[in-house]
Amino acid sequence: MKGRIDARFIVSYVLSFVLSLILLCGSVLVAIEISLFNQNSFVGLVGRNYYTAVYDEVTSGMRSYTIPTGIDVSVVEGIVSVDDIMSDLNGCMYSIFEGSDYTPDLTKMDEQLRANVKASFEGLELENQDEIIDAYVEDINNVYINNIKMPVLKYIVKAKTVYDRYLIPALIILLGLVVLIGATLIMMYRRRYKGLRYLAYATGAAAVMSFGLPFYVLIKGIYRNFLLSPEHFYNLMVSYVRNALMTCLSVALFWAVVTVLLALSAGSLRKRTIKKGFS
Amino acid sequence: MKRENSVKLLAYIIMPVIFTILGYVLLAVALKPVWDLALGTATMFMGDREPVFESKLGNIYEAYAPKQGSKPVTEGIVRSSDIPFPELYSKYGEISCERIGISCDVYWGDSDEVLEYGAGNYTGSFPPGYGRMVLLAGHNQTYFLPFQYAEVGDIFKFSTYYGEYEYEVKRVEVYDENDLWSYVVDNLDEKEELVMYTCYPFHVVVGRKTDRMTLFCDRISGPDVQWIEGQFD
Repeated sequence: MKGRIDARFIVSYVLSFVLSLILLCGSVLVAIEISLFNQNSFVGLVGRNYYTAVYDEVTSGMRSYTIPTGIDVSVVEGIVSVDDIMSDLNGCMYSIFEGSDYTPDLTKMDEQLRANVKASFEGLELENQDEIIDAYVEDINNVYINNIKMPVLKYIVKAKTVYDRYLIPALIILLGLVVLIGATLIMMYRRRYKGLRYLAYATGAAAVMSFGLPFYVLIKGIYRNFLLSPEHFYNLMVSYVRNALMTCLSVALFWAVVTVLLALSAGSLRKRTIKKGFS
Repeated sequence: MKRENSVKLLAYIIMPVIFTILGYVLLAVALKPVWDLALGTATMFMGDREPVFESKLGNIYEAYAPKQGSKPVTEGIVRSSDIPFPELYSKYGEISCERIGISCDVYWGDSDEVLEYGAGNYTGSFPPGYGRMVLLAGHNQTYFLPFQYAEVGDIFKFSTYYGEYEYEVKRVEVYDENDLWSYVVDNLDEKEELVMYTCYPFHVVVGRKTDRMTLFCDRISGPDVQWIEGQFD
């Protein structure tokens, strides 16, 4: 009799431990989906400050390109605005999400720049003016286009496409295992509160495991060591990863609440059982 | 009964902690190949510490320059342990050549931002006095515009926060940018040589300028900086 009881305890602990790992896997999968691979989460981080920082980067890049050419630097002033940057960045971002290509409309900037350069050439005797202007305007357009590109977002969207393909089947399998193990643990005991205890151990472990690693990374600040530039892009990616880590902590909190509820239910069931006369 | 309840309550904390330790160990062992791959990939875009973005240019030159009235160091030996090494993107000197009319600040680092304010010292080379190449870049429409009048024999005064140097122009040449880079790589550690370059030609051209007008100068005065080989590796 004693041996049978010990075996049941061991099996319960093993099942509870396996269940905690399954819950952790499910938590991680869901946390990744709702944070790292969440379009709204990324878009929400790209605010006015980001547009302004990209604007500064674009204008500084245009100036730096212009100085060694010998063309007056003032020709690039006022050819682009923060609103232009905002419009093109959003266009570029949403086209990546949709899997399409985005080509910014540079007609206005192109015309303004040509007019400025021509005005700055007045009085100078340059032989191949048109050729110089064409080459210069093309390069400045490229400076603009390169600054509004978001190559990292392309990789994220590609990864999300692959991830989404396997997410639902994986979650269904994990959910099936959770139901199977959960039901087994409860059915193993005539007094249900005993089975609930093992479920509470599993959800508690899932809470601690979901909390431990992300909390360590957050506290140590490892996620801030990205070798990314410029600064505004670095800040964007750091916020993006921080949000993902915070989501993991939220998932941990969810499991902690579930653990408390399960523990309370087990306690209440046990009291009722004792009242009915069982020990 | 009370003790039994306490033990049961404690189990709700202890068991998850035990499971967590076991779980982390199990995952670490089972997923080792994945971790190794992930960590290897992470080192490509993760550093040891948080990056520092310097948007404001520093000025070590004025902070450490000899006080007014004191004589600048023009000879002898300066120990590197007695002087701070310039921080990235900080002004650490001034360079001038009276004959051709150059006078500008010199910064440690040659970013686009630096070149808007003066000449930039490539950080793979050295500041003056270290017995190694001093590589300076500058824009040809601003600070290095007078390079077009430079000749062999011109004297450049290079004032730093730890000493005053003079360099004499030995060669003036136009290099393709790649050839200049090959020269720099081959000669970085050969001897103390001030190499200053700017885009060439000076007038507006079609497309990007790929030639560099380069001045090669030898040191004729100034203190040596005593430093240990490998100190700046």
